[in-house]
Amino acid sequence: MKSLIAALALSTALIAPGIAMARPVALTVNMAQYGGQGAYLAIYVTDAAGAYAGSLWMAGGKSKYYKHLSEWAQFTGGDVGQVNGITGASVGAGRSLELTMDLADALFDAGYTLHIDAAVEDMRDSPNEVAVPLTASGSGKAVSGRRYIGDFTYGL
Amino acid sequence: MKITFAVLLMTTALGAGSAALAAYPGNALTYDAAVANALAASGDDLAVTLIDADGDDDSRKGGWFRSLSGDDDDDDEEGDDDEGDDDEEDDDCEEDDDDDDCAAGMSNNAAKAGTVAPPKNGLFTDGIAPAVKSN
Repeated sequence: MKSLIAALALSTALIAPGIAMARPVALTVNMAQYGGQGAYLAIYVTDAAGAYAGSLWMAGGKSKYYKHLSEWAQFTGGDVGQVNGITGASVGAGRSLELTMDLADALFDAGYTLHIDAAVEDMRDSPNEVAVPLTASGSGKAVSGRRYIGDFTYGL
Repeated sequence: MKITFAVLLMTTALGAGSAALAAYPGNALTYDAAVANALAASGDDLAVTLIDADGDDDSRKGGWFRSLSGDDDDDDEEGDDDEGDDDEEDDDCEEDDDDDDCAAGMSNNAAKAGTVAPPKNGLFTDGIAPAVKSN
């Protein structure tokens, strides 16, 4: 019985930090009325040194258009492996995209920046449409986009 | 025997003559006297060149009947930047293509959320795909 309790305590001790290391985060992108086709959006993170850390979401399924998400494409070389399993449909003008994901705690208040590149067919590409530092204090504060995104918010 | 030999000799002579003519097409053709004199005065070659022996490769694909789409002209006269158009680069295979030439797995598009595990990039909990809602 004692050994069973000890094993349970040990496994709990091992699992608990893992749970604490991630937190659910909601990302909301409200598109502006830009009068064009559905926008491709690449949502990705850079670290404190400005180096690419990874992608969080790709809105738009045709990889041949990813080159128009120019900053993301420059970081990744257009590697679709970066967005396998985290890709969805493009987002139309005036619509919103709501994402919920468990993000690592280490991303917050550690110099990481969330970027969104945007591209719309027959319209100008818009790299770094949004660039917002990931901080606990920035949670819930809307950030305006430059061209196609009305505003962006992340909530912890 | 003599008759047979004579016939054999005659056919051989005719065949050899035909072969000689075939080897040099156009040699048996001659210019009109006035043209020949003018050419001789100019020092040009008097040999007649047949169209088939002009050195051109007449078997080139298309020949005179060049495909309208096979020319080097840009048939797109819109003058706009077609990058990103759906009609551009449509020689690839896409999920929504009805092109039967596209074999399964040829598409290089990213896997949609929920079909494979998200990348292990250390940003979010491994194996749990983000939930998405779009209006």
